Amino acid sequence: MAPWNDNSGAKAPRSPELTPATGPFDATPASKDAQAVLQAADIHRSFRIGDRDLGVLFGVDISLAPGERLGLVGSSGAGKSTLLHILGLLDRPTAGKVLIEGVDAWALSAVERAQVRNHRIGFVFQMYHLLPELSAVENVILPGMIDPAGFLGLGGRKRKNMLKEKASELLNSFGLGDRLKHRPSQLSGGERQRVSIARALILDPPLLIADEPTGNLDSSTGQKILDIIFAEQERRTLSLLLVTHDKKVAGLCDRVLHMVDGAIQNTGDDSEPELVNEPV
Amino acid sequence: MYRSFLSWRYLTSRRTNLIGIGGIFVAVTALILILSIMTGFLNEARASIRGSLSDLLIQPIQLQRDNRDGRIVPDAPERILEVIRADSRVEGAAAHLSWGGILTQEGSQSDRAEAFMASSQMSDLPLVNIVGIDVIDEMATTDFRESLTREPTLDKSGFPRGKRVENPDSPFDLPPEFRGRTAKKPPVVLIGEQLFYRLGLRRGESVQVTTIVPSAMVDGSSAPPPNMSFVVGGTFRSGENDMDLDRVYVKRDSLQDLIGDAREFSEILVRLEDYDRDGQAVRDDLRHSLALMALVRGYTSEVKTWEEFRASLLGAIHNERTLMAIMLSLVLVVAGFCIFAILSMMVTEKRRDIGILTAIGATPRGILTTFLMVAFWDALIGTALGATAGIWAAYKIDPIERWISDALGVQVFNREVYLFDHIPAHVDPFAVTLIVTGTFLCTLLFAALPAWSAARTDPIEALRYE
Repeated sequence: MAPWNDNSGAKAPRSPELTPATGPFDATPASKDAQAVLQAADIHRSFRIGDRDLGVLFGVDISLAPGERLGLVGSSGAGKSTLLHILGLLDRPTAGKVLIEGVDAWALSAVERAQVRNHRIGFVFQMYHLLPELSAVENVILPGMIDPAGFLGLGGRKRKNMLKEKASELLNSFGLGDRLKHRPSQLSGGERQRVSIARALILDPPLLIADEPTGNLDSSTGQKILDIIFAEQERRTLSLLLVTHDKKVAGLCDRVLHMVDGAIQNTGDDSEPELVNEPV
Repeated sequence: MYRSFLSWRYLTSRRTNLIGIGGIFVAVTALILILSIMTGFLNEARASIRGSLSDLLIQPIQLQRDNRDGRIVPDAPERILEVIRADSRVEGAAAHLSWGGILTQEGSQSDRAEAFMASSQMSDLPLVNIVGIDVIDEMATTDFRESLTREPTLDKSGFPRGKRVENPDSPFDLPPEFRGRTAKKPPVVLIGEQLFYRLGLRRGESVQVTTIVPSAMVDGSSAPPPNMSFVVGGTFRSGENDMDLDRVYVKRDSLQDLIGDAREFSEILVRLEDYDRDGQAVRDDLRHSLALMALVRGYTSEVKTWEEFRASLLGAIHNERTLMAIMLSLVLVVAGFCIFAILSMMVTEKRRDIGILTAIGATPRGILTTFLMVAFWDALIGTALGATAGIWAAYKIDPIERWISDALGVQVFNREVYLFDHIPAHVDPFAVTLIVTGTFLCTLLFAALPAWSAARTDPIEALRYE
């Protein structure tokens, strides 16, 4: 059995039909730290501009335990987005390792890494990033329809129906039962973000990365979105990495990391010490 | 699963895709229709040429004296026919005596015909190819009988252009309309339908055939041009317009009466049991045996297959078909460029989608396949519609042509100019398969570059894209 199926502590049962039987996580984990869903060790990232390198991240270390809420705060240009892209396996670090459930993600093949993004990580973006041609329910089932190891995915009608059923349940539970067939353009910002959360959760990933999920919403709607995210995080024992500008929101996390100039500020730093790597 | 689902959704949500589908539709329809027509032309030309020529054609070079070895090729066809018919692979053989002349209605035109022979300036008179035949042999060897029994074509006002003979089994019998009172029965001429119509002839009326005979063939060079009166027995329709416009049939002995006994035949037509199997072999054997027996002079040009005899016409139609296919393939290339432009535009529009798909687990190969599948749907719909329309139009080309001619008030296909009285079309399944396969390959080839560019899109840049 794949390690991600071994989730006896989860409060919300996963759908075994919708999770792959094999994957990169069948390999023996490189790290024996079974507690860490996400580990980033000594992450560096620089960009080549002309004939010189521009450093953005300088030795970032992060560890996220199962069921933990981790807040990541920092000013614009601090390197939050770059770090998030690296942790989300969309960008390769110049140096350092990213371990997802103990497996070195950047040592995997491109297809295996795509599988990790598909099955192990859920993304919630500030701009929702829904596909405009698809209805709410179709947007939600999209990760389930992507099987990076397959070719044309023929014979998937049964799987699609199961996904639709699950997506409808999720959207219903998010109060979007009457919006299943609506296109994103027919939904409000809050509704779009709820669809985006449902999409991130459809395959029951152990890790949820939310990049300023309330940044584009008014405070009331933002609060509702946070309520949903935190409720699902608790129910599913998700590991949550939440990037935010809002100190109040960060304050709801178990731990908060403060990024300054491409590095995590150490405990005892003079800026916002109460938020840095300390339990709130 | 998502590739086909998403590509179909992209296809149906973008109206610009209709342009690509339309381009492919037009290209495939045009290719299938034009190639079917050209193939039809080729097939019908072959059939009609073969029908009037039979399978092999023997044209001995007839000189009065062979200067090379002193042998004289005989003027009479009997010995050659005997040799040919002795071959078990031969179904029939017939001698033709072909001669040129002028066909005129009796009266002032006859005088002009004689004047023409003297001055060669009066070019409005119809020059005809007078073919003298032996009826029974001819019917056993060529499609002569069929050409007598075909329904005449109609002109624009619905008037028949020809008038069939009274009795196709005995076509040189005098027609019932003939009211002549001469004691001696006049000879009968059968006239090509188009010529009959052009001259405004009627069955049973008399026509003058005027010809000229080289001085070497007659005694005395001052003899006037020979002419003879014939009665029109009816018309024939070979299906080859040129032939129907300039050929008349008479009995071989009647033609001999006109030109004198100097020449008894000019060529011999041979029909084989199985031309495809034996054509080349019989030709070679006849070349050899007839030359050995001094019945021909031994030149390869004297014994030919019908295809060799009309090689230039068949080659021209074949070349035209190939040229048409190449030119129309350019339409397909234009459709391909259209797909390229539409897909490139779509990849630019969908950059953010590409980033999202990558973030939720799509691989570059998956992205590439998704956009290739958009082109695949374009090709599938365009080709299916185009092939259906092309095949349908090929089968219905005559009513379509009539409808267009009526609607535009111009004659799109002039049946008097072309060889045929209808637009021939033959749908070749191999050509259709080739066109469909070529269209798919061409479309996917043109789609490959934008799809590849989509697959190479940086997801981070794409997610930032607004």
